Amino acid sequence: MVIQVVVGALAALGFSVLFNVRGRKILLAALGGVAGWLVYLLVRRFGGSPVLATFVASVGIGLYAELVARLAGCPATVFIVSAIIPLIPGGGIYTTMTHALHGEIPQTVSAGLETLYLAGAIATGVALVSSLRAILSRLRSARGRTASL
Amino acid sequence: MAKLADGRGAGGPAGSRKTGGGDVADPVVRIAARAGRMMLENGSETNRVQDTVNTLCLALGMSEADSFATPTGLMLTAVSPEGRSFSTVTRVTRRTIDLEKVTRIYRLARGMGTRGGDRGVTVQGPDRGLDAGALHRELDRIEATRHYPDLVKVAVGAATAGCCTLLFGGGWREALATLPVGALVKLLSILLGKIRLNDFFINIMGGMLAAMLAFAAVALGLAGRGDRVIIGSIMLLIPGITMVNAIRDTIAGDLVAGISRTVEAVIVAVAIAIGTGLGVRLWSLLTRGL
Repeated sequence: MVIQVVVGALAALGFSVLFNVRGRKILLAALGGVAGWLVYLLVRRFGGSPVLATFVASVGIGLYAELVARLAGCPATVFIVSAIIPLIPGGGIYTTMTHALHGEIPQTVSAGLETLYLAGAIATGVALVSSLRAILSRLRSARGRTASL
Repeated sequence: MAKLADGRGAGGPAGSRKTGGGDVADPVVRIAARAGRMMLENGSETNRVQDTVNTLCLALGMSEADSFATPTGLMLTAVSPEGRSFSTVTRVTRRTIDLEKVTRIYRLARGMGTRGGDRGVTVQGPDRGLDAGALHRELDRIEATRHYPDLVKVAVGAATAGCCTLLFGGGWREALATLPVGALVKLLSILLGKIRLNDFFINIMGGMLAAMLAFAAVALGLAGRGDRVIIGSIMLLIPGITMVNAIRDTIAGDLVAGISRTVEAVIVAVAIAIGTGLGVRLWSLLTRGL
């Protein structure tokens, strides 16, 4: 499990370099990868389905990214994307494709749907956090700039 | 940033014009549109582009600004204090991912307007006295931001693909075999990107290369399971940023941008699948022929 988390961090770090993130933001992105993958593995260990684990991990990554983005003064996308890519169902796309290639329609459909569920879980997680942020910032601007956070 | 702060503190050098008048409204709109185009070209979400462009216009002395961004273009109208309106339409034809540029433009605009920056809210009065020329120079500087060298990208791509193989249930042998495959896939996509091939084709080629090389690695006895090698390598092609931006745009209410990005992400994913499928087929035809 430790190895898995380290590898997850390395993957996030790699993607952040490929997206031309620079300086200490790379390390922050890698930390996001740690957070995301750790949450994913924990949910899986406690019997959660892959879809649930992906969803919870996306929420975790989103929260982390919004927080760090605020502290580091850059868009949250920088931290979300590198950390979330390892969650994307690349395996699902591939499995769906192989079934389709062999003409196995039922398996193709079920693998395809599973892939869609996973993508949907990521989408819902990210969407949840961005709506939360929107609500918070609206509350804050309503209360004036004295409010903390 | 430093240069701008200088110009502002000194009340502008002798040669520079203060913004805010009608004759400088046009340059203002142009600077804002340029900043917006650069953000769109480098993978920013459209919601943020609109915020930034509006903030820039208001900070440069316009009394109103409204903009509409999609992944492929930006429309912007600003009203000068005299009540004349200025508009531009800017097409975005080239899209890559460079989050450093996005961050720097974001910071530039944030340093100019007040921080809240909610859409449509007036940011500040016209008397900041920012210099249009200095801003253009700053944007030039941001545009010249270097990418990591291609060699670094290929190496990092290889390592990242290897990590993904491990994450997706491959063993150490598979991860090692993924290193050269990932490197070549990354190299191919860099090269094809340089000759401005469209994304659809790049991803078909990338998926095909990944599949062929993975099966070659299995045939050479380097890896036990070819599928793990393929999955690790195609993670390099997957449109992660497009996906995340699609969601965020949709949630922010930018439906046109959200939908077009969703379609883009689906098309790229389909292209990867087609490419990989072609690779698998081609490999089995080749080996059957031998």
